[in-house]
Amino acid sequence: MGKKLTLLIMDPPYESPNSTTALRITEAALRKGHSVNVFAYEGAVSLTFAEQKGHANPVKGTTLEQEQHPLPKEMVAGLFEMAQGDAKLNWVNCGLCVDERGVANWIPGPVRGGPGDFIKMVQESDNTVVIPTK
Amino acid sequence: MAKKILSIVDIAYRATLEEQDDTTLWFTAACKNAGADLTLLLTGNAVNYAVKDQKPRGLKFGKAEIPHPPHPQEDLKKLMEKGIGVFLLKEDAEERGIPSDSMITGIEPISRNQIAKFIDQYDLIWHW
Repeated sequence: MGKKLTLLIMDPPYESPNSTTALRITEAALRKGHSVNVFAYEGAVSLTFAEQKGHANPVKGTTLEQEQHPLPKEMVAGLFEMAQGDAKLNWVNCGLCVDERGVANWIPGPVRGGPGDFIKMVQESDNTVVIPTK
Repeated sequence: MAKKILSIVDIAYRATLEEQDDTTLWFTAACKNAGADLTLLLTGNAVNYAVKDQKPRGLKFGKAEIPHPPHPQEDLKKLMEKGIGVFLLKEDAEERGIPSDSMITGIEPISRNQIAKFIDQYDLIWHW
């Protein structure tokens, strides 16, 4: 039977390798049949913002289509697609952090919550990893 | 039984002007309200949060202002009132020239050579 891992992440997209590290940990856990709770705090709530848009790259001279700009919202959507079986993904965006940033329009999957939800996740998980902004 | 959690706050004054508080201290209070068994350890520049005479002034950008500048020392007092133990790494304060009599009361200093044993008491360590 799979285990349950809780992650708290804090960095906004396109700022730090912490974000991709957290997504990679989540992907590896889901792939191995473990369930993952993610609590997105502060800037990390923007990872799932639905209005993220790719762009052309004038330095490389590539068009929008050629660039195929990676978008964190699509990576998170990919994780939700993986979590269709026993290994579940529960993603909670900190509601107050969302309001501060105006990023309430997010992709399907995440839910709004607060620190109380995080503590519930912690109590029911086998382990918790906090990855703060440094 | 609730897991025993040690939150180590090392990064200080990150976004404190926009938030009007420290996001980790705020989160610690919210988690305590939700039933968490939490202890706080201040290390690095976060030891300055214990200094009692911090007097930040509100910033103004045209008509936009920060009306309630952060007072981390007051937030620490409130955490202690909630029953959260607050500890501070003694050497980090000494290295920054912060004498113990300049700090608010109630914070327990611990030395680097006590850290391993101290950490061993907790189920989870969160290093902010």
